[in-house]
Amino acid sequence: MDYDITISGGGIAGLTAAAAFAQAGFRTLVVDPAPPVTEREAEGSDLRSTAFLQPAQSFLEEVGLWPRLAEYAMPLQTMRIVDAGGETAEARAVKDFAASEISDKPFGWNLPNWLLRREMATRLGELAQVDFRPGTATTGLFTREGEARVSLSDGSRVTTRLVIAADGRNSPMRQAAGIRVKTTRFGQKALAFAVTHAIPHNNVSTEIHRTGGPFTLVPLPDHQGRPSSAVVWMDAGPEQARRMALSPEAFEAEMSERSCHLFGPLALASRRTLWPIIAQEAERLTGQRLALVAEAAHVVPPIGAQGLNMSLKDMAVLRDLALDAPDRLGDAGMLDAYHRRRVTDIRARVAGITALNRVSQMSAHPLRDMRAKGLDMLYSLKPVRASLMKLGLGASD
Amino acid sequence: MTTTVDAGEIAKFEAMAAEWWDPNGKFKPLHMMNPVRLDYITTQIAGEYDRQLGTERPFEGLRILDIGCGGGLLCEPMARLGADVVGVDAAARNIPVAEAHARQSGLDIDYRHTTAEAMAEAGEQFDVVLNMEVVEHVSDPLAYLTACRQLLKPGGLHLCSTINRNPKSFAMAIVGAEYVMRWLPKGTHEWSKFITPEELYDLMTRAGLKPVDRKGYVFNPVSWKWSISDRDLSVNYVTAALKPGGSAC
Repeated sequence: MDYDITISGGGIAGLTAAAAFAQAGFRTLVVDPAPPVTEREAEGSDLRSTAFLQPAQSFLEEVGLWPRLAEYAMPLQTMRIVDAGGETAEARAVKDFAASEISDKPFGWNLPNWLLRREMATRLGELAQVDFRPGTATTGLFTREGEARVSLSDGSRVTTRLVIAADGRNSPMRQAAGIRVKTTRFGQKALAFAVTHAIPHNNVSTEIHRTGGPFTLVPLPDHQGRPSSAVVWMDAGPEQARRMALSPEAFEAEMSERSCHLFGPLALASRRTLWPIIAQEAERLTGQRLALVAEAAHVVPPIGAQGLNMSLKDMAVLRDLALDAPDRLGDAGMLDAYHRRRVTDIRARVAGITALNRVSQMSAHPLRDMRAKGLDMLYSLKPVRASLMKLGLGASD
Repeated sequence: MTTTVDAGEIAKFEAMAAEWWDPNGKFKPLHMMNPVRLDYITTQIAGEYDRQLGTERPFEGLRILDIGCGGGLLCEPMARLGADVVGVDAAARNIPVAEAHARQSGLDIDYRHTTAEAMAEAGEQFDVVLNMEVVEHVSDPLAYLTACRQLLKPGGLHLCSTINRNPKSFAMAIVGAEYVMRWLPKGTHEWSKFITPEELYDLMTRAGLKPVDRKGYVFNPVSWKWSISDRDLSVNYVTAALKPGGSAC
């Protein structure tokens, strides 16, 4: 057997899985068709950011990645939800959730994705048990009871006990195994970019609801001496295409207005990138000798930092099962246990975030008014507040 | 083979071939199951010998033996995929029938009226032995599987399907297929000769083969279709085993 584990996909999920399994002592191969783009300004760099909620941060700590990331991580102390669904783009309801209400730690820590790739790839270089082959794609999957054989784009073939598909929403390994998905489309796209602004963010992540989808600013470390945030702006596809084509000046004017000027004028501090918004879940989380994780298994709209945090839970469960019975790595019993332990949480979160996204898409005024009232009522009730916050922390299991 | 072939005989065999190859005829259950059987067989061969199934003649250079070839339902697709195919059948009447159909299909397949044991004795060797729905009909499965192993080159691949032995398989294969649906002639199967997957693994191991995979063929009475499952081996199932001593990779 060439490897214990072969990971298809070298995004943040795949690199985290590689670090986790290599550190646990499993011989691990990770392949990705593209070399990781590890510079912010480079073409193709991922300008989105990832907020690691508390359980995710603990996991990164356990698998030895956190020490490399800590110095770049921006703690998120408060989550602010703003309703600006009135006639004009003004904040009319503001609700704050302070992490201090339920924990002595921040809600989460935000990091730019391109930097995560750089630091995670560096960490893999330190681990003897892992073989990272960027620029290599998986092209075929053949499985038997006791092993999988994965064909690679360099013409070679590796034998392995378990294949982890961390190869995204169009997962080639999932398709090779014939596992189907259920996809929900919202007609939305997300613009992702970085901004600088005059008013400091004070470690508050701010989600502004108006119509078409939320406009969310998540704190980043200062950029060129100015406060900076990562922005995810969700709206109808054609609107976003129009905004992509706007001059930087016109775009800045439009986004500053959409942000209700809460941070003063926003200045673009990166390229703009456009991402389709879907919700998707795989019919099954496993195939023979195959485990689906992260976006290969579940895709949610970028709301409440749920996506990657769900993914890290996939990884934690797989790693725990592998460590419990290393000789049963990748067998039917282990994979059934993985499916059982993850499927309920995944189904619930995909459904919940899909519903939340529909609410934030609302464009009719009475509905927007209801949303503002609902927000007000919901968040004024203390027990609801605490449980919502815990849900946001990824703590409900 | 004889050179003085009677034209009337040929017509008779061609009529019988038409019967073998009629998807709604006497061999309907075989035809219905054939897509999943072929899927498993081609996937295992391609996986073992690192061949690309999408390409033309991916099995070029592989020598394949089909035991119990009948009318050639498996031999012909193997030949089309480029393999050098030998089909044997213990029933003499099947040989000219299969030959007649291969001729009509423009395929060159070596059909012989003989047995696995006789072939093994003659020292013939193959990359792949297809042993589909035969083992439940033989009198001494261990001796038979030993002959199958002898017929393989070192590292060669043995694919063997059969029927499980449990109340469900009795209901499906005998009551269902033979009596209710009349897919198969009554008495085709003897339930007590059916073999469980564990027994087959054990027999193959004793015959000197190394079992590496088993999957079930599952019939869905709603969609009226067969599919492959790595979990449900309760009725029809198929196994892959290797002859030790070589590395096909």
